Amino acid sequence: MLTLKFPETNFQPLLAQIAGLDVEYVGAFFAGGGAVQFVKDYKAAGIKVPLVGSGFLTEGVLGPQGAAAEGIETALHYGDGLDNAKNTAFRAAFKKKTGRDADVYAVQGYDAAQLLAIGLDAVKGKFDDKDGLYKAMRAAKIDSPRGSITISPGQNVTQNIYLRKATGGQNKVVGVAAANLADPGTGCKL
Amino acid sequence: MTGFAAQLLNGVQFGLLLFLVASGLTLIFGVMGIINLAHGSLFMLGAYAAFLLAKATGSLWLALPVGMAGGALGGALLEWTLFRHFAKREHLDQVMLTFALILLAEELRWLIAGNDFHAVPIPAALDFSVPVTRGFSYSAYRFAVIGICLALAGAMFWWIERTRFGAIIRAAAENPEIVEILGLDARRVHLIVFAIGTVLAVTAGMLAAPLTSVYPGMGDGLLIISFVVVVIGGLGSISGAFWSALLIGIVDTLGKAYGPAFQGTGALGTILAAMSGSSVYLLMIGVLLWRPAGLFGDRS
Repeated sequence: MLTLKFPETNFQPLLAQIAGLDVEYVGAFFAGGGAVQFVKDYKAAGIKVPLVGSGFLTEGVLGPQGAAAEGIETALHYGDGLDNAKNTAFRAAFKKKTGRDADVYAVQGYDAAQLLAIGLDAVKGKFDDKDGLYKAMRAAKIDSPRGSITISPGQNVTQNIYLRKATGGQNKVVGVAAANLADPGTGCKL
Repeated sequence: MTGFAAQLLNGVQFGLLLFLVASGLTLIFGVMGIINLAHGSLFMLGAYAAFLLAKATGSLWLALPVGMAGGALGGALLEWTLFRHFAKREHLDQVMLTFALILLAEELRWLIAGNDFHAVPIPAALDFSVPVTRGFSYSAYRFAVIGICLALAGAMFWWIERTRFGAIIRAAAENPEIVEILGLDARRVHLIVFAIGTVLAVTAGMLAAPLTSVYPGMGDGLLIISFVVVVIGGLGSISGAFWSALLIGIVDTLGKAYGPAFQGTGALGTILAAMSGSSVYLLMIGVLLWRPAGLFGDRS
């Protein structure tokens, strides 16, 4: 495993090392500006080994990454071109309201609100009924733009993790990397 | 071994960029006796200027001369309004002044460009890769940066070593009073030196912008490593700054590339791996113990 300190963006020492490795894939975790620079530098370094990673490597940064990101495969719980009725409706409504295209962050915000709404419906809006609220939220089954999701015993989301491929400025969903994956949430104290 | 050659090239490229920042720092200290902590902020402002100007004009090549002119003007203005009045004061006063300038520069950066990372596109004409070793390429822009840095370093040498004004600067670095005794205008010398130092830092920032992206506090780390360059090269020495910048660039790159590999090879290996990011500071300690005035400094 190769690491460097945040927010260092001089990736050259790492890239020259990667070029000398005999490996099938290179997996990277970067997000935001670091992801933009890393993907561009990786391409410029001419390394032939395919770059893969967590979805944040290409999420929301495909514009500035441009051609350097083309073909990069990533895994995330959302992606472009998910074919379900809820997603189509959500994207259209989001675009109409904000003028932007929905991304994973928009979906997460929407689902969090849906979850809260299910809990509040169950207790008829009585916010003080914490036990009833939590019970309903734990049992919730949410129709999300990312597909149907539930809450795991570890109080995390049970959901599909999609395989996406960066194609023409979009993180196109090309398959399901893990279906109904429940995060054990081992760090959660609740 | 080809990987090692690639790492050396990375080190030289990083070192040359360091030289642009460190040479201004050492020049300003040598001639004016001022420790300019805000020198890294000038680098940061240069990078943000590259981002904003390249976005407005659509070309980094157009942005570069505009930024350099702005750097010269801004540097002269800073010297005239602030640094001139602090040249004869204690170092602690200068530290207070330049630290305040760091805060002001960050505030200014926040007001104009916000706190986000911004990518600066490589100029289209240089946006292609050139193979350097098997399986590893360099973008043409990186080679262009190496070329520009070498050209600027050459111009600096010529200016300092071969021109009349360069002789005055060397004299001023040696003995500040001699300039006035000879009837030369020390104020003018200081103004020009500070402006040149600012231009160098701003230029380094502009050249680095497409290589590192621009982000808040990007000058801080560079300032510290530039001080290491100045200390190892010898305060006030341009040629010292050049060789020491190359040395630091290479040591830093090799340390980051090969140091972590010692992880898991016993207690000593763990220490080496943990210190791989600090290789240049270990080097500085060694040099200071061996030659307190730096490798190229005046030992008298």
